[in-house]
Amino acid sequence: MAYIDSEAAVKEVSVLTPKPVRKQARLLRYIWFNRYLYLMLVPALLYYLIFHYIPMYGAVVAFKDFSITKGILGSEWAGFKHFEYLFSQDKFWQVIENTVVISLYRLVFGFPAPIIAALLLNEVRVRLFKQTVQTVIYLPHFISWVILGGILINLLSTDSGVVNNVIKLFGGTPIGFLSDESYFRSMLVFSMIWKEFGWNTIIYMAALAGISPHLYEAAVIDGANRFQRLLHLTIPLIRSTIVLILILRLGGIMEAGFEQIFVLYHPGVYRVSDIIDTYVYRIGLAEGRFSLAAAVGLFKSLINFALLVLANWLSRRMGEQGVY
Amino acid sequence: MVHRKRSKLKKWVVGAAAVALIITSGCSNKPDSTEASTNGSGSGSEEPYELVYLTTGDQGAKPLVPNDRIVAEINKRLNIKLTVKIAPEFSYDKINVAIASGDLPDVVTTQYPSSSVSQWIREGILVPLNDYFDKLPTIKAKLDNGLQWTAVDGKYYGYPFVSGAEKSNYTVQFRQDWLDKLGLEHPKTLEEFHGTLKAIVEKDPDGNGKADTFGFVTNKPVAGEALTAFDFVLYAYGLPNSDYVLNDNGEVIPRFEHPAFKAGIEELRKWYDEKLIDPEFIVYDRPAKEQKFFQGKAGIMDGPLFRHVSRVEGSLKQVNPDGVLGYAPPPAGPDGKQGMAVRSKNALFTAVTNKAKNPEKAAQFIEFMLSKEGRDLLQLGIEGVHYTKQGDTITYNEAEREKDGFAANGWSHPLAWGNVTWPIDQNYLPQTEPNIERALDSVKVASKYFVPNLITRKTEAEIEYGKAVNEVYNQYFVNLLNGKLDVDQGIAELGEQWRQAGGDEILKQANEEYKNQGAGK
Repeated sequence: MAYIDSEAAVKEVSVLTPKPVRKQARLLRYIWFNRYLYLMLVPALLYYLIFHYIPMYGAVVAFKDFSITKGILGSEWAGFKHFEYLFSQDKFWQVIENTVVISLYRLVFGFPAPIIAALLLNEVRVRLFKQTVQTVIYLPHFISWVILGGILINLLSTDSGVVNNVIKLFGGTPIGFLSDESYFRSMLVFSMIWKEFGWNTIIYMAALAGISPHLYEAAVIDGANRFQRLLHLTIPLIRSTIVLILILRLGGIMEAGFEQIFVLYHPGVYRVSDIIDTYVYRIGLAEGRFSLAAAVGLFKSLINFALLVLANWLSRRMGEQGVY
Repeated sequence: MVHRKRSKLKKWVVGAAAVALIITSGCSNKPDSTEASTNGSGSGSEEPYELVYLTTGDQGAKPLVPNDRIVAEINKRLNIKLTVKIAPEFSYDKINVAIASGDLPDVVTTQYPSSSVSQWIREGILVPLNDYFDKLPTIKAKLDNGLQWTAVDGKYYGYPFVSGAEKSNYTVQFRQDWLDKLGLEHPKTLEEFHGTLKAIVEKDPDGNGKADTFGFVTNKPVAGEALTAFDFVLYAYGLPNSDYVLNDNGEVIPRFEHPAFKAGIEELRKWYDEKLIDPEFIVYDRPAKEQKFFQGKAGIMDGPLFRHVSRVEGSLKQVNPDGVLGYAPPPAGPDGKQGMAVRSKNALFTAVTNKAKNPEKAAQFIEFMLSKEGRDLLQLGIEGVHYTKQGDTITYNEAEREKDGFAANGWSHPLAWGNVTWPIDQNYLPQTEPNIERALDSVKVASKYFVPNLITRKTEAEIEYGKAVNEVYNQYFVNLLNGKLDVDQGIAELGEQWRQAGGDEILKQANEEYKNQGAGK
């Protein structure tokens, strides 16, 4: 319990005596006391430093005319040239729109799915059934999109896919889920939810497991039925988890799923499925316009950052904890 | 206390495991490549020169094997120590990334003309070959014979291999056995072509009692290229050129603004609407398309012949022993016009980089691959090991050839594919090829229907914006074909979007280039 004690002490110090020396000494002693915890943190910190913070300097190529021989730091400055070009392109706005639309669909339809699944599973009495269902629904999470893409093409193709065979059986005309612009986005969103919702259920299951059974017992004695218990006990008790996950999801709204789209899209559906990441890949890696690609990527990160701040602020306004 | 200790121990275990994970998962940044290096027994007193060659492969080739005897032979003859890295066919992005990250090979093969190659030349990454021309007779002869346009300020920065300038193998392929069964001749006009497609779809030539066959199947274009699989219909309606056309004022305009494009699209829409075309063609790559053909899910497809005759028919017979491959000239339109094959403006560019310590030796390696001596080694192998020769008759030792990665049925070593030449341009077929006559005939048939280019080479703007405008074109083409867009409105919109994506600049330069071409004549 020393952990809480020392934290309280630090707080006390900062309120009463603003002497920096003493404060520092206290902090050092506090860190030394918890040295093993901090030591365990070191690999994670190093990982972020090496793979996430140091490479960030590369973002400056968005403001440069990147030359391979001169390198990132040696290239000539170009100002906002690449951004001006981008903003003048209809294609760029189309790509932004696709990213946001696909992400929003995924949020609206994909966010409640694991919550509902977790709540339903929570009510199941038979353990074997519960565990079987859980395993089955989170299995697709472990299959990579490259493989799943192939499976989807087989499932959804118009001439031999199972789904279209069923449609034909009932006398309908086959639907080009993969080739038709009007179905492609729905197919993307649906397959993404199918792949990931089971996995996301785990977090909510954990939150549900943390609810004390006494509360339910008390509710039963008070005469609450199952639905009332769900509505007035379970949901309020996992609300903070839901909000936290929502914030994280909002922060990642510009991530519309590169891997999935890259595996499934083709020139016929670029108009509805080309997202920022696939666009960056094509202009950057395939065409070698690195500065332009960096500009798109940087723009995306800016939006992401703004969204995260906004979501966090909203969450605090709603009386929940933020992520920072 | 005991409990506390144990949890401490646990912490350490977890921590150590985490560290170990991070260390072992440190990923390498190399492009996905097959590597094979063999020690050459240096013939001279000189140390063998270590040469790294990065190239894209070919779907028809087998992977390189370790301790390859052909590589060893090259090492011996050129006194080098060769390391070959092969990226998959068309994966030029992998090569771009390798170069951009500073991981330069000595010799590189990639797509040309491309913004990457222009950039490499501009930045001095590629070394001009002019200084070594006296040691490069084959390259020099090829460059002097129609490739002068590839020089930049009088300097040649590599060997551009343009395939199919005189010969093509691209034409219409169909199930001859189905046509025989339906009592049909091969279609000569567009009308007959339409009738044949209809018969294949409606008359159940595969005899399974279900109307589950499509008439025509094709595949999506390679990334960055335009969708040209249906162009033979446009040419039949009189589209005069494959790249750009002239309007009444003699100005260069995009080909989709020619009346023949509209006429062709309207015909194709009819076919699509009647479910004669496999609507999912845009999802397929070439192997997937061919599979549909082999499995009897479509009766007609476009595609290359020549050396593929045996391969396509062989695969067809594996699924259906009665399957017979037929090919024919592209169908003629209402005014008797027809065309299908085009002269590609793309090439594969093999060049020496400034990382090469001995650029002369590196250039000689390219020369070797292109020379008669090199071709013989890569196609036939080592005499006495991979083949024996009696007079003009060559006998392949397939068992030995397989050990060194030669493709089956007398085809070449992995190093011979997709870099400096292709069999069709050399008119090369192995002597064991079972369909030599048909293979040669298919080239004769296809090469008769070349559609000329208006502009002979790619302009700077086309190199820079070509991929972007092709994306726009493909999108609109698909939606015009499947009836999602109104024809007139769609073509007008395509014109706007195409110009905005860089088409304006492309047209400007194309007009200039066209005038220059005229002046040169």
